Amino acid sequence: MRYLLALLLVGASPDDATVAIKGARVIPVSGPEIENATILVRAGKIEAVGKDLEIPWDARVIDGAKKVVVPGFVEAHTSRGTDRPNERLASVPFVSTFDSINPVDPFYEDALRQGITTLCVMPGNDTMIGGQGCVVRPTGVTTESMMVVRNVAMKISLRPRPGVSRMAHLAALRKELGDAAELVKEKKADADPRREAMSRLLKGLLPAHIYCPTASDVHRALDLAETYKLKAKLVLGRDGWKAAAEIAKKGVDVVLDPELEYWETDEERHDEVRRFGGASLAKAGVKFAFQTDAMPYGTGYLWYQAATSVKNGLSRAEAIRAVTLAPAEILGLGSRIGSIEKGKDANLVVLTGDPLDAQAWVDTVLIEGRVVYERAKDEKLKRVMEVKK
Amino acid sequence: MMALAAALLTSLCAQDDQIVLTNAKILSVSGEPIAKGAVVVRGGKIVAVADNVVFPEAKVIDLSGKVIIPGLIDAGCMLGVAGPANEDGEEVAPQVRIVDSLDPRSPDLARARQSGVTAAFVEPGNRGVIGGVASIVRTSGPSRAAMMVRESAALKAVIGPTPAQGNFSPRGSAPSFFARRPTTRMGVAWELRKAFFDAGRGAGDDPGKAVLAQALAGKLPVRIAASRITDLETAMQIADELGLTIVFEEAQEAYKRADLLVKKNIPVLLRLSVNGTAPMYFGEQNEVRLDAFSLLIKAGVKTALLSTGDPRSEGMLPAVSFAVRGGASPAEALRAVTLTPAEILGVADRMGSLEAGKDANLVVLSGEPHDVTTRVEKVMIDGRWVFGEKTDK
Repeated sequence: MRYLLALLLVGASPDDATVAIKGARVIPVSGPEIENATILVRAGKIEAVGKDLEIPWDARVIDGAKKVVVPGFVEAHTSRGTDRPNERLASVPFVSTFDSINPVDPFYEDALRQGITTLCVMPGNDTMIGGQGCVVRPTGVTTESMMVVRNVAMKISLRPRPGVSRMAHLAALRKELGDAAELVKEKKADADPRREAMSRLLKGLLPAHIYCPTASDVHRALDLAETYKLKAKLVLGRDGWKAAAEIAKKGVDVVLDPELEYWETDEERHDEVRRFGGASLAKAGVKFAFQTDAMPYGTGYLWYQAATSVKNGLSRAEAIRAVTLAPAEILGLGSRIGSIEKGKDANLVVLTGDPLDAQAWVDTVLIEGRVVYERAKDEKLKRVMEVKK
Repeated sequence: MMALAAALLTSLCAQDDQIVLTNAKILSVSGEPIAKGAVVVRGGKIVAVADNVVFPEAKVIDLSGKVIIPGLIDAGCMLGVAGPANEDGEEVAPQVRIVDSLDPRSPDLARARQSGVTAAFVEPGNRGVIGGVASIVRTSGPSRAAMMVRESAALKAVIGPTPAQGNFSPRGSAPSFFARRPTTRMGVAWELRKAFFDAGRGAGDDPGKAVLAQALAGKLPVRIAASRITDLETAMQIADELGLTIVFEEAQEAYKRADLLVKKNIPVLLRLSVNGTAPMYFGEQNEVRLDAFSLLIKAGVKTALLSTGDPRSEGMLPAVSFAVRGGASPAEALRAVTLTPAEILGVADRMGSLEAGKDANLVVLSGEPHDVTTRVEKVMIDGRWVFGEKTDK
């Protein structure tokens, strides 16, 4: 009897609920699109994807007719949703956004509303060695409950502070890394909580996310990575794509600037030229992800970033991958999230239309099998617009 | 004989001057969409918009798979203004003219025309109660004169907190820019009333008062930037008292009194935002609705869309996408960046739609205008390509 009760309780817990999304167009990202497909979710994982699947009697059925299902979008780099992302000291490898993430920041609620199910919250771009970032889901009222990976990477920025030259910035950075390397060699770093993070960084256990504000910083970042054997990912400034060949040669993954397309002045012709870097990176074979910024307009949303890149010549598949599977892989979570495949976390977004269509709205969001957002119940959205079926 | 030669020459020139754009989807805005049609341009004007016809002798550009729309009109912007757009010397400055700050070589004009904007209402900023006189220009031209559509297009005024922001009473304080009037919302409204009241008692030889007198006589429309419903109501009251013809811009809360706007026949220019918060430069939080545009349209208010206000983006086409995202139909949204702004600016006889006799301002797109994946491919102003084709400089 007690056994049965326990079983009932387990059955009732939302994590273990069975969900079936029925009859939707599914964009798995890892494979071709499937029309009129069903996705079965059990115990937080995707159990099956395909046509003509039998729906278990105890499943909660979500009608997918005329709907499109995509993997939850993944934000590869953001500093929003925190209390002050930049420390005043230049080098603070021991701090972590774990201590500054604000779970009730409306940023997370909005992220969910836009279909983002995973975010890498990193320290900002103003601190030289800014500390460690965390991968979170945009639900939960405590930082702990949001956590997917605590201390996933170290943030390093190549942007000098105001009044500091690039040479001085680089010299200071090399000194920090060099000193830490000495301590690691002498085995003095591990026991010291202030140095432990640098030790993991230099041993290659903690990846470095290096912000390169200009294309000229890219080779500096790659040099640093080679000298100190850092497991580096680059967070590029808007013209970082100009170093596509160097990036490709080293096989380093990148996150693009939120300003995917921008104007550049052609000094010779006195003309303004529209630039977009994604195509060069794709052509060079670099793995890249998009990020969003704080604009209240399009660039604040990952679907819009993907659509913008298609406008500029990227293929649809590449664009959708850059907001789902590519960022998941860049964060080292490619086996868990980023695509709709058997065995992966059930992070699913049901849209009213195509993900790149401005008319499509996020209808339902599942994170690890739990329904965490329903547009029909979104009171905040209803206050600012008439929500149609 | 000479007459005949002249006639021949003329017809030859006409042929040479003629451009035919064929096989494109045509969204003329004034008429039904044509699935596959042609636009014929001659002498800077549109001479025909029709189903595909064969033009054996003309210069033909095949635009299969493309979409042609009228040139976009930004009916409230500071494109081409070199330096600050606010004359901070006086809070009431009807005598200043934005045309004197206009620079045809300004990079933002180059950006705007590559984004499909072919005409713009260029106005002083929002820092003064009366900011000066605004102009309507083409976004391309070697000189100001070549760009000009209407030099004296409207008088710019602001009702709301913006002109008072940061100000403090000049009495007894250190001289600074902020030591000036007005300091409150009511102060802003009073400054506006007082200016017109003074002008109404006789303009004399004061050039500023002469401009205000024109507005009082109904010869010059007044463009009023006001966002909150309280400011819109103040503005409508003042306009009624003084008999002004007004157009609202940045009117984010206009949807709350759509009925009144319809009754008074006041057009609205709306800047859209997608997440429910107002653009940051408007100090206060307005009650923005994502479907404000479609609410206004449904109520019958003549509403045009402004660019998204992000200087980095191709501002006007995203506005079309966001209007559609907020529930408007693609046709309503396209009209709101072409024919509706042309009507509001009083230039619909020349631009705003693809019709025979209108200026040849048009944009060739890679797809539907409301689709975020659509690219601007070619832009033509007055029959000359300014982007995408070999440009005639």
